[in-house]
Amino acid sequence: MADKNENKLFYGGKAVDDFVENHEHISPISMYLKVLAGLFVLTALTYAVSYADLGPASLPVAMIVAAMKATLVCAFFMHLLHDDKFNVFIFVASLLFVAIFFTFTIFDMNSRDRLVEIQATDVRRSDGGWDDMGRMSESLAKNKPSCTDGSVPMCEQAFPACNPEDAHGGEHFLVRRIENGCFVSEMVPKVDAKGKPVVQDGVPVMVDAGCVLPSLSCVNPHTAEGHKAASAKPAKAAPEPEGKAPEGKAPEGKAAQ
Amino acid sequence: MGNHAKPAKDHAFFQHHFNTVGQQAGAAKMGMWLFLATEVLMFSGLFLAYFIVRALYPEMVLSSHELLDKTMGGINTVVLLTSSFTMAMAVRYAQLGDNKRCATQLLLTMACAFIFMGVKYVEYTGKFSHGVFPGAFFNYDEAIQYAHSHGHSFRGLPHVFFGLYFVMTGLHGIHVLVGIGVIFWVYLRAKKGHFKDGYYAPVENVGLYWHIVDLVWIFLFPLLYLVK
Repeated sequence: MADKNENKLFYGGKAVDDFVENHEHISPISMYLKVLAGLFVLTALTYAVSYADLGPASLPVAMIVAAMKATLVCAFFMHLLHDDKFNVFIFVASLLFVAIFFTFTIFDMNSRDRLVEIQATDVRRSDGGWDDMGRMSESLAKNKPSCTDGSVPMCEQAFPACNPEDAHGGEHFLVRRIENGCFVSEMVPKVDAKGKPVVQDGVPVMVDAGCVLPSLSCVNPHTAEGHKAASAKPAKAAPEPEGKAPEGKAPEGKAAQ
Repeated sequence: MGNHAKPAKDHAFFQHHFNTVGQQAGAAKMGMWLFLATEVLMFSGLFLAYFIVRALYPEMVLSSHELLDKTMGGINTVVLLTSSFTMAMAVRYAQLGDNKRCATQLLLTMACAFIFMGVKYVEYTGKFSHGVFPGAFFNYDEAIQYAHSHGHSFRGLPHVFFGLYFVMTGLHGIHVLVGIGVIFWVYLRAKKGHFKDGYYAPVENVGLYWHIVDLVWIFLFPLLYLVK
């Protein structure tokens, strides 16, 4: 009873010949094996490359290799090479939207103030990029009266960071300091090289170069209470640096180990 | 009848609302691709979070990732790639109507998936037992000792990195579990001999899903475990 047109596709009222609704493509086993071998080789490559120190190139290299693997999987295992182009379009469209998503978010990140969580102060972007150093010394100049060598590259100030467990229980606590304009965090012993405790009243005090940031207290800035506490006890007046120590350097003890 | 088109009610699973079996299979596959597009978008949010955290706190990310076991990650990569191969083979046998071989390949795929989850289990419990928990549960004292015992030291606040690590690999792991479920479903159908006369859309679509799971891991592995 099947009428004559049953298997025809009509477009604009006309029957379309030779239409294909589903692209079947049966590939030989050897092709799949070759693809698998290619994937293994590329995996070995990323693995090996990760031991070579490529520095800043390592991320792009890893991503390129991963993209090559992804292409192999998509083209052969997922049959996109022989599939309906519309399915390829759907997939590529999703990647396009990912690209838009990434691009605009990165624009946003680059035009936004950044928060120095330890201090709860923001760092503004200056012409040359993120100016942590400049801003930090600015805020140092404002906050502490005793940092006399205010001369720029920061007075190697160590910032007690904010891990209550460490401050109260552990042997070490986390400090942040600025190194080449970057924040570096590390664990330091609670007692400095000279056996002097670096915590007073439960508030870690870093005393090198004689500056103490008054607004610092040992709270976890990642909790709401922490945030409140940090702003609530503002000038926990720098306990007169019991380490008038001008010996500049940050806690010698450095991260144990 | 056009000489190129197969007669319509070709196989037992032909649905009456489609014109041809080709249309039915093509529609199913297009639906699957649309779903995969949403999967890509979902994971892209996590990848973007990773890139942002990495850009803002490079030292923290690099010092934290040292704690992940590259070898375990590498084994899992090989396992998952192999499973993608066996899945592709299962689809191929379903295309040929060879239910028996198809079922075998699906079984191998599931075996790989279980190995993958087993390795993940070892990795996760290894981290948990040293206080390396996601986000707020991160135990600094234990984690720092653990890092030191491996000759590493954290810089910055590593719980942020491990938060990302657990969410990204966790969501991926959930996909693997779901994958095991759907592969088992098509395995049962292959056992019943359902795939013949050009009917193999379920195997093909499960295969597409499984490959996207593999695809996500292809990016997760270098980003989380390898990259310096």
